[in-house]
Amino acid sequence: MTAHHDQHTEPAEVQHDEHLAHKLATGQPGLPQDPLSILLAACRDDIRAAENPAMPLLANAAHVAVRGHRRRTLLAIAAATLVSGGAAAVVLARDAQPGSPLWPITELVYTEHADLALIRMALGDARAAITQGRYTDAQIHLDEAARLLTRITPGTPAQQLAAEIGTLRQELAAHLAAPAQQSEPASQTPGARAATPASAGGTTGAPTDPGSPGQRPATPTPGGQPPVPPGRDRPQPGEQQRTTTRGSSRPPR
Amino acid sequence: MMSELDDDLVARAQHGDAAALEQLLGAVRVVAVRYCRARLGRTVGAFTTADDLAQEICLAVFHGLARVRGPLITYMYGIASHKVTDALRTAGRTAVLHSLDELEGRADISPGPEDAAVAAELSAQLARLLATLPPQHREIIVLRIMVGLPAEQVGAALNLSAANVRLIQHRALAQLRPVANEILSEVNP
Repeated sequence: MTAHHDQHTEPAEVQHDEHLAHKLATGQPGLPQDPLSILLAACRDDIRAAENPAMPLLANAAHVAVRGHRRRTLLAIAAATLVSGGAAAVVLARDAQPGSPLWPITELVYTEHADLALIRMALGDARAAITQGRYTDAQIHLDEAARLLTRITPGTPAQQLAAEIGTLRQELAAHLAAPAQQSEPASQTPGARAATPASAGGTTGAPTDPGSPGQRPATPTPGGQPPVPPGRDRPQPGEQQRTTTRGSSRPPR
Repeated sequence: MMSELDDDLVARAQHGDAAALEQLLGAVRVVAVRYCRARLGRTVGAFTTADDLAQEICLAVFHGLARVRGPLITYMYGIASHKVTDALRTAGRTAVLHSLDELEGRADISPGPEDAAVAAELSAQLARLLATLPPQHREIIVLRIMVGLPAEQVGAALNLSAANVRLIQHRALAQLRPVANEILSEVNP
């Protein structure tokens, strides 16, 4: 203990400042509008802004991973953890999922396990996107899963995931083909469709409306890729961003 | 959130309770991020450097968790204060090179010019406030107000009683009032 009670300080003043500190610390309303309170509250809010307990840890891992010296530091810590008393905790990190506070450990120590978790998550997202009719999103998630799969050691899990990717690609292709066929108006002749300006370019169709009448039918792409309807052959910027920010933060091996 | 650094949670995490470990590291991370941001401020308009250091602190706490016997905040503060001191020392040596690196590599994640100016101003004002305090007073203001720890945990971190924390906090705030008046009178003359 290095401080001593100051006999000259009024306890009421100390308590008054403790109340002030408590309000500032907890963000409670009713702060006095004096310069110090205003300034400290503003600085506190600035420090706590964009403070997400889970995801920034993952996002920060991305920054860390791309900088060599920091990555080496973290790897050294992780490696040291393995041989120290923290080994039991590291084992827990093996089953962590993206977004968990343990996820950076998983990425650093259990590299392949982290990739498998990301692939499964991408497949889950792709499945959900197909169900909800967000076919461009589904395509992006499947491409991401396929990209990550190239980093997995060949074996049973990789084969199973490859098969699952194939199944979902076929399912996506079927969904993309079906609305285009169903949307053919029975009374409309091929000539009438060709005369519609929107159907010729195919670039004015809404991205989330693959079955809009007037769009040309989707055609299969080489290499077994699912067909892409007109106006939807490029991921939307926001969609691409969502996928890449949640993907693995490690540089390609 | 801050009460989650309690001994019971630490004990459960040390005995392999995965949920407790996640909860604990989430709380550790919040404390580490706030502490590093308050001490290091922004670099080129962003808290990225401070947040990276917070990440290192979290991993170091994770690494040593099995060996923690007293209050976790004491162990964690020991790591955090040393890492921040080292970072400030290194930043002092390599300020120019670091700034160039930041400008080249991170320009895309910086806030817009107006936001960056306001944020940088706040960081500068906090740094100016804290620079007027002796180290122990500064640490109490940072841990108590910026991080949001209760006086008892601040005391555990700094090896002080909660009563002494409140007393020093009172003195520190008294010392900061004229400085804050001066800063705001400069902003709104």
